[in-house]
Amino acid sequence: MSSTEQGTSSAAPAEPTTAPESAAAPEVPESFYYVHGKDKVVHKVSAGALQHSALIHGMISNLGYTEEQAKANPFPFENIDGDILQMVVDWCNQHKGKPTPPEDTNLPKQKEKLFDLVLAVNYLEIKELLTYCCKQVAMMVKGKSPEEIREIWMIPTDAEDEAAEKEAKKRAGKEAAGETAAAAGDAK
Amino acid sequence: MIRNYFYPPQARFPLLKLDDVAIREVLNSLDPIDYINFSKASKACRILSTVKTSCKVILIFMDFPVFCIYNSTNSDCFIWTGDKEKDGTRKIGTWENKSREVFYKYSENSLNAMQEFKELYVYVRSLMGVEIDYVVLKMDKLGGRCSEIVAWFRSIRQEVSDLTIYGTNQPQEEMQYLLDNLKFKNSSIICLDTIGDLPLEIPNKIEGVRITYGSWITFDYVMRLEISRMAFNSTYLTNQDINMFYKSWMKMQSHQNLEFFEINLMNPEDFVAVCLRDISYEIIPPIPEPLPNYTPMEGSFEVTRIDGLKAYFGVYDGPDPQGIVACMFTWLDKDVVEITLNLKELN
Repeated sequence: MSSTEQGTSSAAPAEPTTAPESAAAPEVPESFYYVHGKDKVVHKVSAGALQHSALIHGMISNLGYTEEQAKANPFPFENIDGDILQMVVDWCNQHKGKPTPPEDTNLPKQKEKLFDLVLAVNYLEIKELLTYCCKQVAMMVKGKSPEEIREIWMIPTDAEDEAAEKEAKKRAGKEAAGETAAAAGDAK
Repeated sequence: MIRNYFYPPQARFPLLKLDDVAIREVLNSLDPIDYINFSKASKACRILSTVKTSCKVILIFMDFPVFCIYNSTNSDCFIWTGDKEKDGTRKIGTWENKSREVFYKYSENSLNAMQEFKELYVYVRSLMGVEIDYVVLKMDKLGGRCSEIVAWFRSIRQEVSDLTIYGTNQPQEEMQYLLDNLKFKNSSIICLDTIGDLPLEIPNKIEGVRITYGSWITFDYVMRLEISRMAFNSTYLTNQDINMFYKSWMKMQSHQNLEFFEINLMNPEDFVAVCLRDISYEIIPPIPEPLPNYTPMEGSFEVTRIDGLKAYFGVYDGPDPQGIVACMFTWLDKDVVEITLNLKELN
């Protein structure tokens, strides 16, 4: 298993500039967690960056891992491609502790990846990123006719939907018949 | 055919394979026109489209109707036209400080256009919650179809928030018919020159009224109206009448909820001497533009009602056809008075 050091905070803690008593307060060290996607490449991400993901934030809150435990047990997201997870991690790092602007120009522009990105972001429950991605998807059909929308969004026609429904019913019928026959065979 | 200039044609995306939450997020990001077009893509899309939240519409009735639809983020207008070359074209227009996408639909004649307009309204209403924000009637261009429009409003059983009526030399009975039969809850703006000098019966429950051609308006009529925002132009009210109105307000004998009062001045040079006679006031710097496009002509005057409420008086050069007017208002920080509308861009 390979490992990258994504999201490692290299910046020194900010110098205190106010009252001495606040200077005396110890800095809480930032904690890090580890995630990997389908490609098993492990990404080190700070807890601050992961707060964007309601799913991971919930998992972290419940586990109470130490640094060592977290390193030994990266969160596996086998349903997310490695490059997509990398995009998500990058975005979380870029927006760590910051509100997301309405138009986020830092997002990856690869449109062919948009579908997988939306799936991943939705799964990881990253609300702001989902909103932004969905705006991109909506822009695909701006000014299009119903027929063009159907083509761009790969929407089946009514006839195709009906044929698929018939096929599904037929298959369900066959399966039910098969189960009945099997049950009858068992009974014998 | 409307062409997309925003996104490359090769992009394809299996929308319906997304999770419901993501599909809903995409649909909520669509412009109203695109949302309607999506709903027509297939039966499945139609079903998906019917759970969208509410929208507001503006309905404009003239020779060819206009249907504007907007939600919290986007605003689109369908404009029917007799010009075949415009059919299907779209442009970005600005109207009432909002950027709106305008979409032209060709129709052979105004009757067909009206039919398509009604069908579109019914269709949109079947997709989402519709609130009629305001209705504009341009009587000059309606060709006597007021009763048809009233009948349609009755059939859809929806209340209108604001009503604006434009027209010159229109029969007063027809105007009264509209006021009596169209249900509107907030303000009514009547920019109308009627044939006949009988006073229109305007319900006092509305928030504002503007009558641009008010030659029939008398002092008694103004005193009877208890509407909080009133603007009257082209009246024959004298400066003495205006003085009596102001004094009545100061003494809280009438118009206690008045927020705005605009009246044309036949003798603007006598405004201070006559309109403010026997009224204590303080001269303050000119208050710039209580309304868009109004230019202050001299200083403003602060007057205090007997209960302590302050009002600001001033003489303004208003946009045509208002001319020189005296304005009185009881606020200083409201951005725009809603009873002014600029529909020139849609003419």
